[in-house]
Amino acid sequence: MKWFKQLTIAALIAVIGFSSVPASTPTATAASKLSGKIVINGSSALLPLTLQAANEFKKLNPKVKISASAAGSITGPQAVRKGIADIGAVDWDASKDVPGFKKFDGQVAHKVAVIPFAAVVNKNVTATNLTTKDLQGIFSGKIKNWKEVGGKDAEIIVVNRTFGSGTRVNFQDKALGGTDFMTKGDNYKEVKTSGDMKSAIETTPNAIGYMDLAYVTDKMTAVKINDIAPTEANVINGKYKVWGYGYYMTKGEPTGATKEFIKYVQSTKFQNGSLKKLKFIPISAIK
Amino acid sequence: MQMKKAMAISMIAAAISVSAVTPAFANTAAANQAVQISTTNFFVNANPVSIRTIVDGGVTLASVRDITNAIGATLHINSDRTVVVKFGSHTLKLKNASTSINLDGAARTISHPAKEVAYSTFIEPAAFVKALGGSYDNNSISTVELLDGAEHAIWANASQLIVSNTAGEGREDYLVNAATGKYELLLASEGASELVLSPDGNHVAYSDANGAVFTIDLSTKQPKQVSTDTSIKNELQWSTDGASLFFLQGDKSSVVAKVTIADGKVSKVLEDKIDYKANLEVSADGTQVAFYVFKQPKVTADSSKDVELDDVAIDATGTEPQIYYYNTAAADNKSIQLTKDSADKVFLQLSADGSKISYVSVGADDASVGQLVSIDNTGQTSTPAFADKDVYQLVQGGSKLYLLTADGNSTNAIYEIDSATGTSKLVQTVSDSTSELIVSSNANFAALIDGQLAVWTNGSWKNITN
Repeated sequence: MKWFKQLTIAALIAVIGFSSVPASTPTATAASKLSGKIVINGSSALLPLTLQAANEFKKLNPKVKISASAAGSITGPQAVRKGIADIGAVDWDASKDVPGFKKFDGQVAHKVAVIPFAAVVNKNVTATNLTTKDLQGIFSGKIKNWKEVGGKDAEIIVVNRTFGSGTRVNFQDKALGGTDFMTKGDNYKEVKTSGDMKSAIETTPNAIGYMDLAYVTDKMTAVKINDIAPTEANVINGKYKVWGYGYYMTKGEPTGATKEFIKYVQSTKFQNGSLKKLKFIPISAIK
Repeated sequence: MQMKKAMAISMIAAAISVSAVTPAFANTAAANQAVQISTTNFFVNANPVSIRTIVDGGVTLASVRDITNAIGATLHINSDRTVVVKFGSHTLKLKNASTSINLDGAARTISHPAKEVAYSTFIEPAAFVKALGGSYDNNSISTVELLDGAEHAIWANASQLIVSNTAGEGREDYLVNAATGKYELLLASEGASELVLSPDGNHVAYSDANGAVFTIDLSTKQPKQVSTDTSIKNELQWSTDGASLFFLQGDKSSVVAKVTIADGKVSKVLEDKIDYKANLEVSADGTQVAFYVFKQPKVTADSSKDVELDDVAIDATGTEPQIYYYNTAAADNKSIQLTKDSADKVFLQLSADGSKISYVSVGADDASVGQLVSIDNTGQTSTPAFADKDVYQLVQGGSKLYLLTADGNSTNAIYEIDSATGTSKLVQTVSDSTSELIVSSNANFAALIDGQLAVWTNGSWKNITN
């Protein structure tokens, strides 16, 4: 506990033996002394952000060990409740009931990012401006061919995320207005992670799926919804509605290294630096 | 304790060199005795200046006129012999033999009375300078307004640092004079990466939130867009010849790529399908790279089961960060894993010739201390010999490595490591509030101490930011 000692300037002078010590030196705790282990699990959409933050945080706090994994949002608060993770990364506020999932009692939600979600299609798809009604029809299986929504004559391949995905929860709620997904069929497949979705859309002709905007690559097309492009600017100006907050869930209020890590992710430095670079939107940008 | 105090006083006395001594008489009747007027070397805004001083009752007083001239203030004497000094927005009035001064219309007290000798007024320099808004530290006077705060800093050259601070919705980067603290804005940005300095010290580079790459000529402060490529770029690193910038590409930092400064062309250096690389290091000739990789624990979860069952398991076995190395001469896109141990790893430094990687290793045990470890590019580990202290930070300065380590009860230490021989040398001790060490290529030291940037100069740390 020596690092937490209060030291007077006089004591510093005496111990260090310098003839000059900055006169304004207050007492402080150097960040590098923080230690502990943080286990994070949950949303695959938030994983790049979490690992970027972990890389930066460890340079400030080399004795803090951080492990981060992703198997879908719902596994985040589940792992926290089970006591095998300190932080559950999730694409909705899991301390409240949402359609399909009950709240996780005793967990505290910490906003860490705004996540825009995009409907994405394989590069060979020409229908790149869809209405909410088009999307509802496609993802429910009622619209089966691209020519029904202004595209060429080709069967639509629907790629969906598995149950428990936060991206799925947000897309169903905000892009489909809560309507149901199709659940089976020759032209339907489910994938577990955002990375799997990216691979599926890039490599499957006539495919449509959805993902957070950060995952969109130049090997796919992010479609306009109701004439509005999925851009950061359109999220901030309120025109594009398909977005949600990313949260870190903790069992009660966090302490120690976990608390400091969440503070770092929420800091202006990270929010307006690395977080933006990774195509997320700072939480302060939404008024 | 007594001995250390005495030493400190001796050091101060030694620092104030006296070049001339002239006897004179005090102008008051009560003090009508010989007073020695000396000429003492001060530093005013880092420039050496000779200022007349006297010692009165054991207290060193300095000439008001000499200080006034040195800092560019104005002085006049009223008919009632009140000395009036104007500097910036401040007006200070003082009188001989009085401990009361008037600053901007308000009376305040100084601890030792001003004294007039040979028609010159002398005053405690610290009280005088601070009243006028400057700072005073051991016969060093500064009237430069300092930058508020310092979150990150790098040396730009021997006389300047680049200091970064969060500002509003973004960040501001300043060029700060290492001697005086005088600063000027270099870049105000939102979503930009940290600035990285070119090997010749003439440019900095950064990528913006859209992935576009820019350079800034430090002499003109003019930015120039190098590339319009919008891929996510992490951890820009200059090549030694300044012709290109290496970076980790993509949201998962999967690819090592580089952009050519001349034409903005982006090319892949390594595409080994390994995600979440970090701490990219590049050899001087640009042919070898090293990095560590964050591996994700294996998560088992059955989404078909009731959520309330919490049917989720996390297996973190073998997922500690590991160091990888790649020599582009191999041209096979297969990086080599150099480490396999369970320790955490941070602060990678690749030697200029690419033969050795040094890093701080922290064992799996919560009580583990940081150790400096080096490993050659074939994977043979060795630990350089140095005082066995908890390592907080590793930085490279020229051909040497420098460590910020734990030390005494309230101090940290700075060690220099000869990376060729592994021998270590204690450079100095610092306050344990030191959170970051910044070393230039020619071994100039700066440090973030309690959130202020301090530079090691003339044997002491001098704050150059507030």
